[in-house]
Order: sequence, then C-alpha cells, then structure tokens
Amino acid sequence: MTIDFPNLETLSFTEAEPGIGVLAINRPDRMNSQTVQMFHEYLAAGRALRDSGLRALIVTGAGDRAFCAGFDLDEISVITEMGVREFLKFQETATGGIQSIRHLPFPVIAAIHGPATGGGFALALAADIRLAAPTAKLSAAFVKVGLSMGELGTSVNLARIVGPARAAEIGFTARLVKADEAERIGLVNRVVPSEDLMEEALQMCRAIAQNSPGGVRMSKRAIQRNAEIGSYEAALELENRGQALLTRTDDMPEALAAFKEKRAPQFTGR
Amino acid sequence: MQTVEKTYETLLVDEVKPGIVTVTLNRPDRYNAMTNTMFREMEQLAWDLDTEDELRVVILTGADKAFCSGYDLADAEELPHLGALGMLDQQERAARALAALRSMRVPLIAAVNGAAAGGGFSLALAADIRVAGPGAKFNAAFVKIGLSAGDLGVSWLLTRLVGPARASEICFTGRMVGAAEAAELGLVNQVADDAVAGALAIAEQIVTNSPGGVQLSKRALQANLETGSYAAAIELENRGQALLTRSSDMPEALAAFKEKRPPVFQGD
Repeated sequence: MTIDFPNLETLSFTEAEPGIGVLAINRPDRMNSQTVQMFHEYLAAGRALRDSGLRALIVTGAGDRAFCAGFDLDEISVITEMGVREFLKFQETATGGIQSIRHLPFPVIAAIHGPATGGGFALALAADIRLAAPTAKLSAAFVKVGLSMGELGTSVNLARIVGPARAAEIGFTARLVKADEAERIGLVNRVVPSEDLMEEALQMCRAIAQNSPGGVRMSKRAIQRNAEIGSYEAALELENRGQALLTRTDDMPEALAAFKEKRAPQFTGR
Repeated sequence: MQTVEKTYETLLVDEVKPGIVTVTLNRPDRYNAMTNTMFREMEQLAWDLDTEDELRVVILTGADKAFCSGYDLADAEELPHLGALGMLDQQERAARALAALRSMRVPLIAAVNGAAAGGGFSLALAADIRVAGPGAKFNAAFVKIGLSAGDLGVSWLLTRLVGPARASEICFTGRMVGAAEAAELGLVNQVADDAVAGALAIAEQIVTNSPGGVQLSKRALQANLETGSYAAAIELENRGQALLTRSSDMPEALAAFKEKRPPVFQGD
C-alpha cells in the first residue's frame, strides 16, 4: 500500500504492517507536548489518512517517557495573546485536527505508555480503543491552567466513556488517574506490560483486519453516530440501512462461503 | 485574498467587493452538474476560504441558466456498478464537499439563479440564506431515479426549513417548486430580479457588522439546531456572548454609537 503522507515536523507515520498504520507524536524531548503546529499537523495527518485504505491506526507517543503531555507550557502563552476571533480560529483548527483522527473510517487505537494529560488526554479519548502500560497516567489538567474541561471533546467523550460522575471528579479535581484505576473504570480497555504494549496494539489491529473492511467501518460509524442520535428509533433506522447495504457487498457471501468450506475468508472490501 | 487567485476546473471564484467572494459553478453546458472533480474542488476551496481572515461572506451561484442540476447523469450511469461500498465512498465524497461549504466560518448565501435539482437542491439547502431569481426552481429529484431524499443533508435541512409535512410532499412527489412558492414556504428568503444582486445586497449588510458577532451567530444557529435541550443551547449562547465582550469590536461599536459614527471593526 502506498500512502501519500505529508512530511510533518511533530508527527511521524509508518505503515508497520500492510494495512496497519502507526501515528506517533514526535517531540520526545518535550514529553510529546502539543504546539500550535502540531494541531495543524493532526488535521494534515487525518486528511492524508482518511482515504488511505488502512484497516487500523495506532496512535502513540515517540520515546519511552510520554504519550502526550498536553499543550507545551513554553508555548501556551501564545493562546492568551491571540484576539478572540484569532483564538477561535486556532481552537477550531485544533478540534478539527482531533476530529479528523476520531472520524477516520477505520479503528483508531491509542497505545498509552506514559502521561496523557490535557490535550494529550483529549487525543487519547478521541481513539476508539485505549490500551495502556502500567506507567500510563491520565489527567484532565485543564482547570489547573485556568481553562475548563470543555476542551477538544473531553467533556463529551469522558462523560460517555466513564459516566458523568467519574467525569466530574476527574475534570474538577484534575487529579492523575493511574493505569490500574483507568482500567477499572473503563477509561482504558486493558493494561498490559510495558514491553508488550505495541505488540498487543498490533495484535488487536490484526484481529480487526481479519474482518470485513465494510463491516468494521460501518460498525465504527454506527457506534459514533448513534451516540449522538436523538432516539432509539432513529438509531435503528441507521443500523438497518447499514446492514441492508452490507448484504449487497461481495464480502458477506464470501464470509458465508468460507464458513461452509471451513477456510479463512478473503475479503476484498467491495 | 490568496484563495481567489487560484483557478479551478469547475468553479469560478471572484472577490466582487472587499470581503465578499462569489463562487460560480461553471459547467454551464451541463447545467452546472456535479462531478467528482467538482466535489474535490468545492471541499478544497471551502478549506482554503476558511483560512482567509478578510473573508466575510461567500455567495454561491451557477453559471448561465441553471444553479446546479445535481449529480451529472453522464457519470450516474456508473453508480450501480461501483459496488455497495464504492457507492458509499462516492456518497461520502459528495457529502464532504457540502459539509465543508456549510461549516465555513462566514455566512454562505446561495443565489439560486435557475434550476436546483437533486444534489443541486441539497447544495442550495446547505447555505445559510437562499435568494432566488425569478427562474429559480427546486426539486428533490431523487425518487425519480430510484434513490431517496435522504441525500446530502436534504432530510435534515429541508425538514427544518419548511417543516415535516411540506418536506414530505416535496420529497415523495419529486415535483418542482418554483421561486414564488419557495418564498411562500420559506425555502428561500426572498425572490429578487437578479439572484446574485439580491444576495450581494444582503452580503453588504452583513459586512457592516462585527466579524466575530456574525461568526458566533452562525455557529450558534447551526449548533443549536442540533443541541438536545434549551438549557444546553443557552449555555452555548452564554459562553459566546461573554467571550465576545472580550473582543475590541464591542467597545468600538458602543463608542461609535455614542459618537454617532459608523464603527470600524477589527475582527480580533
């Protein structure tokens, strides 16, 4: 697969295995903290990958210290100096960047081996699935710098993932949530030994890639959209259309034939 | 404005007055029908225009007689052969273009100079404001070619503009709605002798107001159509108003009012 990926300064991309991408936040000397440029580059990365045909993407932090430590405190003052409209333009770029990764048409798995705080926490929450090493530490640090947790989707995603009461506690205290607690409250799907984290993430991607591309894509979309839809009826209507459409693809008959013939299916995504 | 300098295969882009850009769908021999090139160009143009801080209003219109006749039927023949998921890709490509135009920071006014059919109808609905010329006509033609009116936002936008009963009639019959009826239904804001001139008159009023105020008005109108409660909508409004009092444009407006002069907004 040749993926036309732009040359970025703060993010790196590799296709680790056919169909499985790894996007790394690449400022290890600054705890992979975020800059104005990085938020622009999330958007560039999301746009470059959306039609890539990847089956799954792992998002992680370069180096062995941090996943992503949030906005770089050396640079954060620039946002207080912006005018209102200038700030909103930047903020929309930042949210657009996170959204472009969240809405990729294939699963996104965050592999978290160190601090994921502030905007880094928001990025981790934007993934479909989170795997963590025991050294992972998550926090919604926003209230410590005079902002609110209404940032980059955190108020939406955290409340849905762990429920409103835990989201309130984590958001209002800004305390650190360590790996074991994160696993217990469902903030991460699983904690695995540090040395196994990337391999576990890759394993999960491989398991996903064995399934039909259309089925996985429509599953992801259904989970995301039906979390926002106004009624059960409307959610079922969306589900029904998706299933009906998927019965018209080549992959469903192939799956059934393979099952009968006791062989692995060969999905084409058509 | 840098974006205006670029050239496009299917679009004409022009800054007609300071801060006011017209985008003209430019395939007049095909009644400005939509192609994949047009969808790609529309999305890229919307992205580029959204970076322009001097931009205040975009007017969207069609070259010559039609506004936009929808997806080009010369290409539509291939659609059933795309495969189900290939068709889904196709649908998403089109939807991306309309979503990018609709979500620009500045108001989008459709100057509907002629027929707006199928995807062209969807495109007109994606604008914040519609001005019709005398020859404007609208139809949700989808059911005539075996598709549904659940296309490129029609089921969402039309219902909100004209109510569910009128939307049902328009969508199930696929009939034409002329300019006068469209104005009665509220489907268009007004009928003007010349759609672009009418749109321009509205745009000129908009640019006299504060850029931040207009931007947050647009965002509030769109977001609060989708917000689940009155209380949540008010929370969003309150945050925007409080924020705008921190911009230099509000004190400037109040000072200008006292000094009986027009305000000079910085948009910062």
